[in-house]
This record gives sequence, structure tokens and C-alpha cells, in this order.
Amino acid sequence: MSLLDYFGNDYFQPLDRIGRPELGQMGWAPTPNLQPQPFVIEAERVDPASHSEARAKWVPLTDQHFTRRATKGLPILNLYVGETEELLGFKAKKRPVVVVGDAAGLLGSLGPEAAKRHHEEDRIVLAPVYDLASEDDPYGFGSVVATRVRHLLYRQYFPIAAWQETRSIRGGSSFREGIARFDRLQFLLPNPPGLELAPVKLAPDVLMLMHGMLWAYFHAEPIDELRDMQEVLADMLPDAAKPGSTG
Amino acid sequence: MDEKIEILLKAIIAWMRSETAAPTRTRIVKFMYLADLQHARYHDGKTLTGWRWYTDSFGPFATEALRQLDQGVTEGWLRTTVLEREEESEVDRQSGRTFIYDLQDFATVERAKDEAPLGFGAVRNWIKRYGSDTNALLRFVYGNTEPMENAVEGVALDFTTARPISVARPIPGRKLTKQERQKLNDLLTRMRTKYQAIQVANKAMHWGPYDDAYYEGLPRETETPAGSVVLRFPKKND
Repeated sequence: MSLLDYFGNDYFQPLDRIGRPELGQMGWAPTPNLQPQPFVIEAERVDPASHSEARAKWVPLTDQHFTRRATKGLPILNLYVGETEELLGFKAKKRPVVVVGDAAGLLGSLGPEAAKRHHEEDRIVLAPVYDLASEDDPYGFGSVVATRVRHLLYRQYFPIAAWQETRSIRGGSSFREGIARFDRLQFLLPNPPGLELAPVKLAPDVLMLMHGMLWAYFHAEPIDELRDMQEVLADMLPDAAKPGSTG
Repeated sequence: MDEKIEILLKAIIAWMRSETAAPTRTRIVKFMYLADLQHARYHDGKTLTGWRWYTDSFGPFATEALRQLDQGVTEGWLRTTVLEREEESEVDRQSGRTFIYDLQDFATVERAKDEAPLGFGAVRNWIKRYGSDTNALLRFVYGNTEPMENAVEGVALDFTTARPISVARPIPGRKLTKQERQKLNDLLTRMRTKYQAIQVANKAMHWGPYDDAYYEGLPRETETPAGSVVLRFPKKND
């Protein structure tokens, strides 16, 4: 019995429409593949006497990047990369996401002046949801780690149940079971290009548990009840998912 | 000719026909590659055909595959038709010709499906998904198959990197006892109270004002302009 089994069909709460992002709301967003060694796009002028064309090399990031190195060459007018700046390149994939933070919701209304001036503090925080390993995606989370996550054994991960949309509703999406990753959090404006929200959110109790885990991930003192709950769930971990059982 | 290869080739063409996908040379060759990969995944890196696959400008390719198709035509169990639709000829650039390869008739197609070798269900699924879209098929082959991960153009592909696909299946556990369920219910109830108190306390914090000083003092991040970048990938000896 895992957290998913405990909540059963009550893992989600359907929404009537898609409005401003809500805490716990599901959606889809471009998510960068964060490699241990990122890539830098090194650009240089094709013709040293012209700004009109640049050629670029896509190279692994080294300690020489982000420094005032002599090899950086002439500046390019429309692509000015400062002395200690670089262009980074990475692949990204559109993944399911769950809204884990909503600054405006926590801070209260910022007032009309804020709305007019700047939206920087309006950003929402999203945790991308990664698939479990399947025929389609053999690189997803494996059985044992997914089972442990369902029993809340890793503070950086939170289990997300499958959601099957049965309504005929605009933006309705179904989601496979996955794992929300707090180690891949993204901070986005509420409606940037590429973000699609779905008319469904985590049920209040599930959201509460997810926040409890997220706070623990950020070194806050765990809520006692969450700790007790984790103990109960850990006690129910199947033998095949216990440490040392996978050989 | 190895009979197993002939049976597999016929099955692939029959499956493509069932999905109304035109069996162009490029598509057939790629599905044969995927079949070999699937075999290698569960047979310690050994392919079914034993062909020497390498990467050319359109991904995995084996001259033996073309020989096999030509042989099928010569022996009469395959027939070629010139594909007239322009978009299809556009995507089948590898052959330079716009042939599709068909089995002789409906009965042969049905028989080929019946005789299809076991263990290639994944290939059938990929045909369903990519059989009519060569570009998507190529993207899948380039991005989702182990031998292509570190492929070098012209060099034989290494199928020993193929690994069985491990699907995350649920590990069954015991059920909650009545007492455990009650305990979890109680914990959630108590947690709700604390959670709400935390939210209230958070909202009650006094943060700085959003005034002119705030907005004027925000750091400025310059935007990256749009443009075209040409990446040139050097060959090994460059």
C-alpha cells in the first residue's frame, strides 16, 4: 500500500476551467535536460570586419568559460555576449508539470501598481513530472525507485498518480503516473509561451503532503505528522523495494 | 538467403500495409534496423540478420538490406510500384528512386502477418506510430536507439550497447490494516490544521513594499536576440 493506493481516485480534483495557475494544478511545460556538463555556444564573426554573420561552436562548458579569456574574439553587435557571459545550449522536452509555488498567492495581492509595472514577482514555481520507465521511454524511473517514491522515501521526489480525463472540456489532458522532481524546479511567468495548463489539480490533502515534502527538501523542519506518515508508509514498503533487495 | 530474415521482411511490409503506410525503401530499412535492435536487446547484442549496419546521411543503413529487397523482386515474392505522390518521393530521398515494395497480393499479406516471428511486437507498434511519417521515424531512430547514441558516419553500429527495455511495473505490497488506515487519517487531519496555520503565518509576514525604489532597483537582464546559427560537426579526422 503506497500513497497512491491510500488516496485512490481522490488524488486529483477536477477544475471547471483554466484560469490563473493554481497551486497543485497540472499542465505541460518545456523542461530543460540538465546535463552535468552543460554546453556553451561560442560565437565568432564570420568576417572580422562585419557584424552580419556569426558562426558558432557548441562545446562542453569548461572552467575557461565565464572568464575574461583572450580567445573570445571581437564583439558581435546583435549578439553581444559580455566578457563574463556565455550562451548556454541544452535540449528540452515538454513534460507534465505541477504548480508547487504561486508567489502572488502566498504574498497576497500585489496591488494594481504591481500589475502595471512588472511581473517578475508573479512567477509560478513548477515541478516537472518525469515518466516511469516504459516501452516508449525506457529511460524513465525504474520499478524500485518508483515504489520507494510512492512511499515518500526521497525528499526531492513526490509521486504523481495517473489522471484520466473523462470530461469533454477545453484543455483536458490525461497524465500517466510519474514523479515530480523538486531538483528540477522551474520559475516561470504564469502564461509564458509553451506552458499549457490542464483543468485538474492535486487534491488539497495531496498538495499539503507535497508541500510538506518540498519544505523538507528546502531544509525546513518536517511537520511531525508528515514524518509519522512517512514512517507508516516506509513500514509498508514491499520487500522487493527495500535497500539491498535488488542485488 | 536466411529464411528468418525473409519472414521478418515480409511481416514488416505486411504490417505497414495494414497501417496503410507506404513501404518505401527507407522505411523498410529502418524498420528492419529496429527489428534487429529489438532482437539485440534480448539476445546479448546479437542481431537477427547479422547485417553490417552503419550510419549514412539518413541514419542506419545496411547494403545487405537492399540486396534482400532486390532478391525479393528477382525471386518474385516482392513487386515494386513507382510511388507517384510527390511528398512520398520527397521523403524517400535515400533510395533516389521512388519505389514501394509490396507483397504479391492480399492473401500473401495476411499469410505474412500470420507467420510473423514472435518478439517483434514493439516493431509493430513503431510501424503503427511512425509507418506513415518518415521524418518522425528517422527522428525516433536517431534519438531513441542505443547504437545511434555515439554513432560515427560510415562506421559500423555497435549493437552490444542494446539493453533490454525495463518497464517500471508496480511492486505489490501488503494492504493497510484498519488501524494503519485510521492512523493515516488522523495524521492527515492533524496535518491540515498545521498546514493552514503555516499558510496564515506566511501571509501575515511583513515583506517590503513594491514601490518605485523596488522597481528601479531591480537588476536588468539583457535578452538573447534571435538569429541563425550554423553548427558544423567535424568528421573524426578533421
